[in-house]
Amino acid sequence: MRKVASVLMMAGNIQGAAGSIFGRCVVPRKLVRSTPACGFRISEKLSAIPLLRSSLLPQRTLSPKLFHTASLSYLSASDDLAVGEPDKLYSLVEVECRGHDTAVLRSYLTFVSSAASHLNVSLEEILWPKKHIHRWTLLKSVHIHKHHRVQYEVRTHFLIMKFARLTGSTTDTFLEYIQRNLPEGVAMKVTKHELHRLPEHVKPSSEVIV
Amino acid sequence: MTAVYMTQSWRACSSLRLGHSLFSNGLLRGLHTTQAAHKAQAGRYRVTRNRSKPLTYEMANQPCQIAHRKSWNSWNTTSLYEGLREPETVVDDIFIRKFMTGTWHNLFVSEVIIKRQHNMIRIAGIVQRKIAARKMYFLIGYCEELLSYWLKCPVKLELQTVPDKKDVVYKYI
Repeated sequence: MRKVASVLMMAGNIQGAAGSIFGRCVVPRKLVRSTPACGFRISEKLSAIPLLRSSLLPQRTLSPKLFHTASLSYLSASDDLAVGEPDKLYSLVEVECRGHDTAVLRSYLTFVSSAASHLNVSLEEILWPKKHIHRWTLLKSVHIHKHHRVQYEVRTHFLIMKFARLTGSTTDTFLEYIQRNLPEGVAMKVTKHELHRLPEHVKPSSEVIV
Repeated sequence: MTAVYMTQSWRACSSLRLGHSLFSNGLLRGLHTTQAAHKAQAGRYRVTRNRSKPLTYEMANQPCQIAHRKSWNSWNTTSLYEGLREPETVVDDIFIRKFMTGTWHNLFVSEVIIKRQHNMIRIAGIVQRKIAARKMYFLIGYCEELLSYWLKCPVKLELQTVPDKKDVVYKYI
């Protein structure tokens, strides 16, 4: 009984802390897509009295979401990692930004690179792929005058930033910070390359000398 | 935002041999010039005799100066490559602009700037100080509240005020 109560209090504390960090700020949509763990935490708890809420509805606050099917058997205090479960490791986190204005992308790059250098996140590579231009031709006049047309084009500029050798929690925090400060008119796509242990049944053959 | 780069009429060049024109089926064709083929009148104001028409910086720069000396009035990711929800956003923008100019009667002296960040809409603009500050606070709260209910997302107003509309005049033509 006491153990259950203490776990509940801990859950309340953790989620309360999460609530105070995120506060009344709005959750970015892209954030929910790329870092589901963070999104779940935020959507659960934005109340000012997390302890009271967790004591009233213990079952709801403690059940983790289904994208961590492996950890359902544990009674986890935090929703993304069970106690004793090792953190995720990412060999590469690729952030692709798209915008209409190169000046905006360049200023965002200075912000991200200075944030990465302060937080000891290694920014390995910065790429500027070729811009994509979508052009189309329309008739200039409402009626007839087929020989007079107007051409429009829309340009999309790309910026790719590659961060190497990050852990799961560092990635979540860093991406959260980056995405909160994403300028308007700039889209972001995050690709994470995760490192896994080889499964147990995959072993080198007995002839191979390790 | 749509990045519009309006080029001149495609028949502006005279006596040009086009390898792949819009009509061609692989043959070389010559073009004939027409009179006044590259006339554009969008976003341009006629010069008055006594230079009495005031123009703001935005009005003074023509649409061809967008992304050079001007920037866009609505900032969103809908018209990027693989962007989503473009037509709905355009209609929302039209509604927001009409609503703002209608609620603030003759008070806006600049264009209504709409910025979409995450799921928030930030509306910016320059407003004259013709009404009392209390009324302005009420209007700000009213606009934010109603717009957020209609558009189903948080709406923030970031208005700047100016004592007189002559303060935003860039030149007279």
